[in-house]
Amino acid sequence: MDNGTIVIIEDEKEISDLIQTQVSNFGLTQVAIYDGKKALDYIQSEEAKKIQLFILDRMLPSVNGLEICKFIRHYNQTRTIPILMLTALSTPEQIVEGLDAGADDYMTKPFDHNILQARVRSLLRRRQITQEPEQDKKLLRHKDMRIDTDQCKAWIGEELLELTLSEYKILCCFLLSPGKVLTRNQLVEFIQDGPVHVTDRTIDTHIFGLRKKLGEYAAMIETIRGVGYRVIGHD
Amino acid sequence: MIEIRYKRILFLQTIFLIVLAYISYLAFKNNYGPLKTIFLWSGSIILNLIFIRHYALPSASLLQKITEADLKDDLSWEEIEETIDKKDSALLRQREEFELENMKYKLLLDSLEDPVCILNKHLMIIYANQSFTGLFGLYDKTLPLPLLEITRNFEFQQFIEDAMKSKGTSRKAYFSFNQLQDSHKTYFDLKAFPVDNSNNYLCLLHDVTERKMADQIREDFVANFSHEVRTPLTILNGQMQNLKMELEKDRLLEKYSSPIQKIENNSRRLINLFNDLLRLSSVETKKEIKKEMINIEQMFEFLTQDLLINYPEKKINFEFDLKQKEIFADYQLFEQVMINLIDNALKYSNDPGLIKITSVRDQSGDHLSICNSGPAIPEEQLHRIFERFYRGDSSRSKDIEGTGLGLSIVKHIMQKHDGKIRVHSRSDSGTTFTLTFPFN
Repeated sequence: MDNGTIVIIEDEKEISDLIQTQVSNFGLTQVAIYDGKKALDYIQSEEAKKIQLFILDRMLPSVNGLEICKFIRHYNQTRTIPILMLTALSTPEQIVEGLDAGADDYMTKPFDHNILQARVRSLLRRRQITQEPEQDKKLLRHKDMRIDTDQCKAWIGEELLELTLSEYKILCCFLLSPGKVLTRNQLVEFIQDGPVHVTDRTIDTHIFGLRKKLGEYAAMIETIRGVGYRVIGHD
Repeated sequence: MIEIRYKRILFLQTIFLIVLAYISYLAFKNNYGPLKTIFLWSGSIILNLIFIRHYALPSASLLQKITEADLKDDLSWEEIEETIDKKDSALLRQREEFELENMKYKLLLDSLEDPVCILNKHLMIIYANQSFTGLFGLYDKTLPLPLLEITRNFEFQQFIEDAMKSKGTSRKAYFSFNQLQDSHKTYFDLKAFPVDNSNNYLCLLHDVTERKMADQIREDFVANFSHEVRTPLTILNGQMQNLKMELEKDRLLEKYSSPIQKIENNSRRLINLFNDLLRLSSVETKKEIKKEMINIEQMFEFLTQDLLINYPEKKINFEFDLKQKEIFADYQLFEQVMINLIDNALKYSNDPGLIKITSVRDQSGDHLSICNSGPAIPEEQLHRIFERFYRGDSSRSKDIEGTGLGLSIVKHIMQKHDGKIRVHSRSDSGTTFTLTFPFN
């Protein structure tokens, strides 16, 4: 049975081969593309319907990875497919640039194969969540934590969490996007409501407060310095 | 007979004239001053009307001076005329001076290679120097003209509007007018500031295309260099991990674990060294830093937890005494300083150990100290520890991992903040790094 494909867009054949070996145990077909223009052709082909995940390099011949990322996000057939950017460009500015272009997660070279596998697993899980019917998203879960979006309430076990509106919104955002890196700007856009002006440093304060209230669950929010936050995916 | 009659008439006429003169004197005695003023006002208004085309003369205040200081009620008409003549000459001299000044400023502004324009509060260009005229092709146009009509750039207009709202000086780096049909893209640093107390704003466009190109070349070089170094390292690491998996399957991993461990450690060292070199280069070449108020209490809570994870075998406690809870600095750079210093403190602390972090404010600025309970750094090494790749003998002998660039990065970041870093090390009190962020 065809479960779908992972598309690896990477110009260095040896690295592409390595990635293919390391993601071979997900039961998905791997497609390797070595050139930016060919990647765009593939995305617009019938084959694109089967894609479950993109692993994308940034520095590519003919069309660079950033442009491909933007295209994937705007092209109707591929706009919801997760993108893992895997690149040598490692400054916080470059990472934010990649995430703002539409990547869901970002890894810098050289990478650890265990971390790569964990990130791929997490993004494939997220892909499943986005394909779930809307009513299933009313109750969000992370281990023992649950959020009822109808009641706007969150619990750990049986204990109700006393969250501010912004903290609640951020927590919802995280549970809706496990494994996805959320930049401060993306979180600002998510919680911005009404006349109160939210800055990206305000997000840090909300996360600071949220972590204190989450107790042992605080570790699920990973800080990515200079970039933003990621909720460590759960299986 | 006729002669006698004529003399009588003449005599009566004379008497009548004398009486009339006396009555006139009595009648106008109190009104002479105001009449004189009215006369002078008329004269001065005529003078001002002559010059007003060129200069907005302070006519009201000038008249006041004339009437109050120069003219007394008892002045004769000759004296009034003389005063007006004097003022006339003074005004002419003033006009000449203004014309000379005007010419000098025009020459000065036209000689500038940077485009300059002056805008009024309605965002109309009321003056443009030759360079600005050339840039936007204003040769055959008469000012004032709307800014948007000339530049066709909303972002530029927004920049001026924001500057006017702030009533101060505004700057914007690397601005480009995409609408200009140049063969190559031109970049400007913009500066807008108010002209004296008027509502007019002067906008200066400084061409920085060359600097932008140089930055671009440097950025491309760093990106390409990074790509070229990371690619073989990725292959090396990846193949090593594959090899490990294969050896594990064949139950041979234990046999080769020592050489594999050495390859992995050295590969990691190389990556860390490369990352630190990139960081140092990025700090050194950074032209501007973006300062903001940083809540250090919050930052330390994040950082200490994150960094402690790297030393799971050590039992180290943190003690905070933060009298000053905010520091005005560049967030990313300050965070890098804290990461390097706290990581160093964790690395060199005794086990179990204590790291004390304190902050205070005084007249000279904000001071932040990080003190670890590790062994002292020998006196003769203290002045060298901020050098690149310098690592004290103790750190080498203990096989403590490090690139030898961490403190050098810290020193450069502090220099970017016009700040200072000092170090004290004693065997009884440990090693303390003190940072000073001066008030600007």
